[in-house]
Amino acid sequence: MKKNSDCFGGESNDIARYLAKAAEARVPLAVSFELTRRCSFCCVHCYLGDQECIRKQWQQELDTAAVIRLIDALAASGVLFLTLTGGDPMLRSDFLEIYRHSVRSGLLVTVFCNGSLVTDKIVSTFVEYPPRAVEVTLYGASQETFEAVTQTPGSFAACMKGVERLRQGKVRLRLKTMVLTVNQADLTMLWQQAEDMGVQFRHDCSIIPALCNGDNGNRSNAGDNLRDTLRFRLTPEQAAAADMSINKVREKLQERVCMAAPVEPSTKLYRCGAGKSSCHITPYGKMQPCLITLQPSIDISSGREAFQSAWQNISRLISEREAGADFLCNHCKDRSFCTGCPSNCAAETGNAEQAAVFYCQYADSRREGLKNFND
Amino acid sequence: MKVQPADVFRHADNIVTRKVMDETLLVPISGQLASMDNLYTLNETGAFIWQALDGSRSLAEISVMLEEQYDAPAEVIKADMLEIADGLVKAGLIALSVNS
Repeated sequence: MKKNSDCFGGESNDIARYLAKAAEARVPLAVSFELTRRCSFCCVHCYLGDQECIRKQWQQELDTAAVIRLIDALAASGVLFLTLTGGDPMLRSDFLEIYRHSVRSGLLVTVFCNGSLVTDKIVSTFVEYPPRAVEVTLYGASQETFEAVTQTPGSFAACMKGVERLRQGKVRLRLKTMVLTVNQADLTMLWQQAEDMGVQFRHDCSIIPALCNGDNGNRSNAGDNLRDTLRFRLTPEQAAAADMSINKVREKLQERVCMAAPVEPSTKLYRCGAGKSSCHITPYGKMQPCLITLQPSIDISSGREAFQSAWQNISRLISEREAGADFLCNHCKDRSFCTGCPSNCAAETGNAEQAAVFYCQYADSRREGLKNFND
Repeated sequence: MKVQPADVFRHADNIVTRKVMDETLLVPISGQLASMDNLYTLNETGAFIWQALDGSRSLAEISVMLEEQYDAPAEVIKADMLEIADGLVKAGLIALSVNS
């Protein structure tokens, strides 16, 4: 008979094992659920596109009963990790009802938000039912840069107030930023600010065009074209320099490169967890492989059976999709340095198998940057 | 608190039992326990005992159930059972049943 110590497993030992097991068994262990695409900010780089247009679609969003039905379907289907995201999910008046139901269903919930809508009531609920984490994006270290990104007066103060509320409540908090032309000078300060708070931080330089999501009028927040977001993207060289300027990022990249085991080039197009152990749900009740992989998109609003049937379809179509002979990324020597994926490329080139030049040059600059640092 | 064979335990109120893939997980959803650091995976024996701790059976009764399931001496099973129950109590996963 197995004794106590053999009966339990700690989380730290189990997550990697669960993910590997789920990918093998094709179980949707991790799901991101976009409760709304509405947001109280209007960020220039946002991949969701024109907020004004999106806000008009709110009546198309799943209602509370439909969301709860889907949460039940997730729990019944073996989902363990749930990310409630947006837009800002806290814009929904039923956010706390959905959140509480998710946690009480035994899902490990992470919440992505912009921080500005965090109220005392939300913090109290997070204290009573702790999330796995709450992630807030800091768009700048000062009001000037922050609001140059969000295009929303008062957003800096509101976000920082929300962050402070979460910290006061000792809610497990993580911070992050998107690095753009207009806030790149703040990057070091943001890392320092997070370190001073004792909070995990990360940054991302990979801006993509706004997506053809059908609810944004094919416009971005930066202009009449979905690709206008790219005006705010750093050059590949600037992005690599930003990464190299942060010790933790540089060390992590170094570790990743050193740890990357030589593997046989895959013949598959998708190598991530999408369709193997994870998927995404839109505010309108569609399941898709991930946030930016828009097809296949299957209606699951009726609940458990629809969820499971959609998962079977997506799992088969995505995980078994072979890459064409012209797809070069699987053979690329810079794979460990690359932040791109077929879906990033599809958003930019219109073809998941055609690498976007930005990612190739960014990977090349990261490799050179790391080499120069080590020399 | 030292657990006794006559004790009757029930699951703590803030624990949700999940079956994920073929594994039984105990997910603490509120209070101090509720963090990723306290996600418990039960093996087959642990899951058997967990199911049996329903607020109506004593540990001694569960030991008898285990004897029928496992090919091990009764004294060994009883001692292991008490150790496991002690671990569950210390982890805050079970509480004494009010009726016991």
